[in-house]
Amino acid sequence: MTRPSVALDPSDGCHGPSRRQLLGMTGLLALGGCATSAGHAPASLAPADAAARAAPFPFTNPWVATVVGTPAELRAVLPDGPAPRRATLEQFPGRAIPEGFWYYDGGLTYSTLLQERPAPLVFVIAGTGADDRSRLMILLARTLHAGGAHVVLIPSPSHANFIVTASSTFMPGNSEQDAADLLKVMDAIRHRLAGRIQVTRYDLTGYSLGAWHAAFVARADAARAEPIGFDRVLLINPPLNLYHSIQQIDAMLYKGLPQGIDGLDHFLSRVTARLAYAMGPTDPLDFSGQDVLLDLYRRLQPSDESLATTVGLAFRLSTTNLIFTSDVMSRSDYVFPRGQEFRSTTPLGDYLAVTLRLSFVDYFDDLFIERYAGGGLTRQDLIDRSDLRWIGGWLAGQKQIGLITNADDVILAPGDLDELREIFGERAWVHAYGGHMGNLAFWPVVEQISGYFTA
Amino acid sequence: MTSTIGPSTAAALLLLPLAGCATAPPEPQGLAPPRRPITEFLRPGETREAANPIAIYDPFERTNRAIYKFNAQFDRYVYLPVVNAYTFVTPAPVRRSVSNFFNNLEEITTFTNSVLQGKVEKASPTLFRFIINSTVGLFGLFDPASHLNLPRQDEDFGQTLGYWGLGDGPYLVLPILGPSNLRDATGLGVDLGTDWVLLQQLPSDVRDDIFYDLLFWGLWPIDARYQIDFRYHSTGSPFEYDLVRYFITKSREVKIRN
Repeated sequence: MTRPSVALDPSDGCHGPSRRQLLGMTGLLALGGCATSAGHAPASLAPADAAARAAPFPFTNPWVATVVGTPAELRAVLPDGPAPRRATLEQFPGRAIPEGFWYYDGGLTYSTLLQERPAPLVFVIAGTGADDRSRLMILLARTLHAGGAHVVLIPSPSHANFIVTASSTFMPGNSEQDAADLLKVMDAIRHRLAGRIQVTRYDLTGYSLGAWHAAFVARADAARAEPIGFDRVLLINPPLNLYHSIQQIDAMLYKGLPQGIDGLDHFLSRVTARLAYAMGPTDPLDFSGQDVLLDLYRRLQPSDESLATTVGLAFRLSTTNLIFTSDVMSRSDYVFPRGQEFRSTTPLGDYLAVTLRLSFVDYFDDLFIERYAGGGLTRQDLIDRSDLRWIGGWLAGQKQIGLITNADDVILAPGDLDELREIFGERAWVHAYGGHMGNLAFWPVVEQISGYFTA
Repeated sequence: MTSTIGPSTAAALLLLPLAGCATAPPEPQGLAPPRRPITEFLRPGETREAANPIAIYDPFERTNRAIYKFNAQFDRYVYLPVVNAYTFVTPAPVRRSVSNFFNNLEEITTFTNSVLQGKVEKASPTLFRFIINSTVGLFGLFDPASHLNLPRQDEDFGQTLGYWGLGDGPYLVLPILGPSNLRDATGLGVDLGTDWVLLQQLPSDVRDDIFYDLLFWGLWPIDARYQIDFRYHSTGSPFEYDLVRYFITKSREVKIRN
């Protein structure tokens, strides 16, 4: 298992055999707001086991929830269906892509999971550093497809594939610019699908940073002359203010790494040693099992500090990828010398060592501001524009935009939750526990998401 | 991801000579440093290598990186299309049995190397597994032993050498076979050689059968790739080579310790 982003990707949407049951949606159906049903209501997604159906989300510790996710027996039971199909999109034909990114030669990779009959189409935007194949994306795709929708999965603008092939500026994190790039991608995919499928309406969702993007995409679209016109938009665990959340995440990283990245090799070798010990001499861990992370958690019994550092590291790796890719593509001479060619054979150890030590805040202060400030915009203006409150008045008035999050989401700074509640009012559904995305596969949450788009 | 190293990819060794083509042009020297150079972050007396928390001894890095790319392209244009076709034409239970069959043959390697390391607690369940699965499990097509609380172990000659104190040596990316190091590549050669010698003990009319060739030169490498989830460049990281190098090395370390 060398998935470095494993901590960001905690909830495996598993699956089990299809156990279609009677409709048991209870009050969740009412969440949809308007009552015009376009999709078909799916059978209950609850586990068959009565004890599992009665169980609350098991982890009240947000670090455990974020890293371990939802135990297999409490996950939503989704019907077996086809897997999402991948396709590529060339947004900037003729763009010079360095040989070191040769594997992005086909363009932006996205996925579709389509219906054969007329149905709503839901665009799903991935979270930080994630693409269309992330487990959370697959889980959302299967959930929405089971609810009768066409589904299109789009990588995060923070993912290297998007930066290289679909970003106009190579510098993600700017709400307006990212939204414009995303809308161009959605328009191109819409155009491509026209004639192949019948779309009854367009919806939009995203998780984590993808939820933040979804809000700004909805806003930017509404301001266009020929908008897509999203009928239902659901934001799942968004940050309120991107800049503030980054500071939260940096703080997490240092909880178990008081010396910062300088202490990382020590931290990693301790993890390796404990892993070796925990695996035992004759008891190999079955990495194909459904509960690998839960199993590991039970054996290692990590401290909150170690868990926080693990979450922080996963995010740090994402920003490391982002900063390096952004720098190489924009030729900013930031960590990668401008005169050097980025090739698949270029040793990158020095650049990795540097970029790992840089936070998104460094990127913001050094590159982002250079690109986007000016014309009367100050650093503080840019921070303000990375905040959902920047479009808060508009969001508050949009009955079709809802929010699902957790009271203990670790990327929210103190006070952020109240601000989100203030913006979304009765359209904010806040679960007590789940950390950051830890309960996304938990069956009541999956039913809630499904219900939002099918009710 | 499991290591792509495995004696089960014997056929691929044929392609080893390709490594010779993989030399890269040298990078230009004397470039002006970027705005945030490595020197800014070094503590007094710290080397650049020490500043990289996931550095691994890799003196042939440029060649290794070129082979990494070759492997990714081979995967994209040859290996995965073949594996996908195989997945398309066979039902899941058949693929399961194919994997069981080759995994059962690998028990021989695991058993031998458990003995060489004096690990009775690994050798004995492996022996029982092989006996049970080869008989009750119909030549290894089924795996009843796993249901008898005899989990599969994993030992090879690289681990044996490591167990007796031999270091990793330089990191190597083998064509088709993937990430390794000098010790493990040597071990792999010994394991494959042993397999070959053992297979020569089969009656010659079996070995001359076309089915035998298809099995070991066709199905074995296909199943080996089928069993590995890893997809090149799915990490979304421009540092994927560095990350894979680190995690493979650490996972081998853990295996050697166990």
